[in-house]
Amino acid sequence: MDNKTINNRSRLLFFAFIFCAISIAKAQETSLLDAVADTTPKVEKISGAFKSSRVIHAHSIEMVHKNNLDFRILHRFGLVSDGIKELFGLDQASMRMGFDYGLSDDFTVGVGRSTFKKEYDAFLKYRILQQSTGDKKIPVSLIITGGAMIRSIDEISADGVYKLQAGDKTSYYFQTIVGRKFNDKFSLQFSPIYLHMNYVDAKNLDNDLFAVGGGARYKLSKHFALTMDYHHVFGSRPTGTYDPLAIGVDIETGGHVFQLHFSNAAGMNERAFLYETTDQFFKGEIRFGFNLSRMFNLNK
Amino acid sequence: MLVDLPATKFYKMKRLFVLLLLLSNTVAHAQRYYTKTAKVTFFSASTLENIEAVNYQGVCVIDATTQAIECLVLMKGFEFKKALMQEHFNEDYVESSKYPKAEFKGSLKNAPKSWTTNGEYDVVAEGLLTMHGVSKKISGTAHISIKNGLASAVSKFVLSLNEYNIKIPAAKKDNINNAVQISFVVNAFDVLK
Repeated sequence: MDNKTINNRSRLLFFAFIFCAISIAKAQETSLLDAVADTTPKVEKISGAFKSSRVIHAHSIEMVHKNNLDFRILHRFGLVSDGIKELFGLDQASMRMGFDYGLSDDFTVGVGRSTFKKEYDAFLKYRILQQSTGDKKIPVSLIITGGAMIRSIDEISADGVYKLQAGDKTSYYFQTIVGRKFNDKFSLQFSPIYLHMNYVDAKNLDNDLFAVGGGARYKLSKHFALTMDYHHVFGSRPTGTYDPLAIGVDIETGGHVFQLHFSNAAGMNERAFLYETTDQFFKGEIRFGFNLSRMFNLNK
Repeated sequence: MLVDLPATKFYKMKRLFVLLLLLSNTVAHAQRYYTKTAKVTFFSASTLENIEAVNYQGVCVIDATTQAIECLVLMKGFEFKKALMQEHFNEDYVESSKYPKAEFKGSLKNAPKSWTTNGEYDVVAEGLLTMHGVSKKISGTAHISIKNGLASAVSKFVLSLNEYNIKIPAAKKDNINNAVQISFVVNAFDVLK
């Protein structure tokens, strides 16, 4: 009984000494800042997975900042293999001009018009999740986007008897993008796309197409990055159409981003590059092209 | 019973000793003041545009007895009016994911002995500023004013970006001035317990 009491007491003393030792150690901390340091990790959103809101052809996981206007001028040229007489394709230019606007940091709207088939397009893009670290870890960014396209050029059916109406020349797409910035240099994204065309010109063709896109970025320096953009299309397209592939560089100079690339696709909206790519990249049917993005800040 | 008595005495003494130790411990704590809401602004004027950002989460701790001072600012906490500028600041210039904070560790000269009696003090802060992976010895002045037992402080100084290995590309020479004016404002220091 007596031994037990002593044991209990010595245990109490032991803890008292431990407590003392801890408080002494605390008083002797080397940095003043340690006393006020916030040990709870803060939520930190990861941005800048891509330099621009497009990888090359397709939407990237990046958004246009709130109240910013992105003026985009896109060019796709003729085949490089046409040689010096056509200045390696530069004599034939196809163009799209567009405006993207950030209604909020997570919501972008955009409109554009392509010279190819005089096609107008408009889209909405919403960021559901943004990749984050810290208190609330989110491994990927998740974006949904959808848009409509309408060709304003006169078109008649292949058999020459039916003049296409505006509704026939309208198409829609819906896309989900999942992407991650793995480190300061490397980012990767995947994007399933559903494309619906109101009218296709043959019975064996599908009105609905499904495609999966893959985009990647590898930063070589602060202002220079390699990019790649590929889509595989499921469903029956007209014979002689192929999957679009583009390889390029992003050059960033303050408010401008130049996306120079080589691709087999000449289309500059989702319908055009998924449905109307008639060249084969690995047969050397390659075009030069660029996207020029100029960002205007409309705050105040 | 006979054996227990001396043991009890011994432990009573020990308990007193422990109590004294605990007490002396708390007394030994220095008088320290801190803030977590210092307003840190930076301003750079150039021919093409002004670059301006503000951070409301500056941390600063001062030990009044030893005159030691330590301050910390998280680079990602700087807010710009232009979102793109903020993106470039973090990604291209200060590289805030690699170097998340700027830290100053130094000492004060001519600082008030008592932080509770009213008065105005012009002090000099001297020490090491670490930013973007580079540590540099700096010194600057600050004005501390104590009113109604509350201490506030203002300090303004200029930093050279190239001294901290923050490079401005040739194409941006007209947009970004190498000399950046920093202001550090503390509205009220709290007592650190």
